[in-house]
Amino acid sequence: MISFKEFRALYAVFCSILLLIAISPAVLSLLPLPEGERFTELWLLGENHVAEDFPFVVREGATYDIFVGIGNHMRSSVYYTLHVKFWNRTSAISGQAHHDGDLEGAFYEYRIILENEETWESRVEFSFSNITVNEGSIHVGGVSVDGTVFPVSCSTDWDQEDQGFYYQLLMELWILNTTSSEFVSHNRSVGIWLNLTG
Amino acid sequence: MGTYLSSRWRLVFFLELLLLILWISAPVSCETETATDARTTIDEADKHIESAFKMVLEAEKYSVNISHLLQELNVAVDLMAEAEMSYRHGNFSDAIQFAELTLDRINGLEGEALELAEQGGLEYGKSLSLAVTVSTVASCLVSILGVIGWSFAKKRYLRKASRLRPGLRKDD
Repeated sequence: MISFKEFRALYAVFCSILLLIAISPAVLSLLPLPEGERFTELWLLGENHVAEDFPFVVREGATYDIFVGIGNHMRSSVYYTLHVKFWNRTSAISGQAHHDGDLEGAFYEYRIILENEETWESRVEFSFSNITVNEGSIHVGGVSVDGTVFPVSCSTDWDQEDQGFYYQLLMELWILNTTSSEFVSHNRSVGIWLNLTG
Repeated sequence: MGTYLSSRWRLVFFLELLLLILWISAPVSCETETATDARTTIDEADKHIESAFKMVLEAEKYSVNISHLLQELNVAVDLMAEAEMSYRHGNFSDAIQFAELTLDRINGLEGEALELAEQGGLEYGKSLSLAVTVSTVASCLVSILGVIGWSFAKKRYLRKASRLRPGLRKDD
């Protein structure tokens, strides 16, 4: 048989457990539960809805398909803006290196508000128009997204090393900062390189 | 007579020059005005969307179902994107039109979001006070029953122990 001291200790432990259960509703309401990591998914898929078969060698007039998606894991609703940029290799390299929230090359945008754990995906159908070729350089005057033509003005020189006229189609994610009431770059972007030799 | 004619011609020349300047500058100023109007309307629509979104976030904090409201808000932000793109590409009249459509869509949503946030706040307050009351009552009950239960448990223990080992005291 257990000693009296042990019995008293056991009774005290039993009562403490009951007391903890009793105060748990108030504690759970007042103290926030620990949160996991906050992040946003941003993805780009090819025309077959897999991460391959992305358009690369493109030509004027032809239409190409890709899928872009966003997944919100920020623990609350978020107001996103997805800027679609079209730029040449020089702008792409300098723009991505600085990543200072510049909207250079942005010609199209999606705006979406997503609840926590909600995802959004859209098919992006694009094509190029008003292309003029000069000696050793090419100029694109229009990019069409989902059937609407948007005027752009982007030139690039012939790349001797990689043999092509290279452009980048980039999707850059911005979010609304509710404190400053401004859209700020979310430091997430996906894009594809295009060779406009066709 | 010659001086009169030359001063008359000079007056006519200056008047024509003035008319020409007015004719050239009119479309420019009109376009600037349209751009300013477009920016103002877009900014106004943007402000309303942001305000409604902040209310939605407030309601969300209290675990209120906001799906329906977000669906409506997404229609408005989609129009807002069209307005911004039109503005960026210099289609100011389209930009104004889309921004006004956004304002039409957002009309009422802000109020609805505010109502949801207030309702959420009230419900949260109620559930919090209920939880605190339940916890207080339950912990008081546990404390009282614990003290009463201890005297019963102690007697029972000592009775059982003395039956097994006669002459046992609680200090043992």
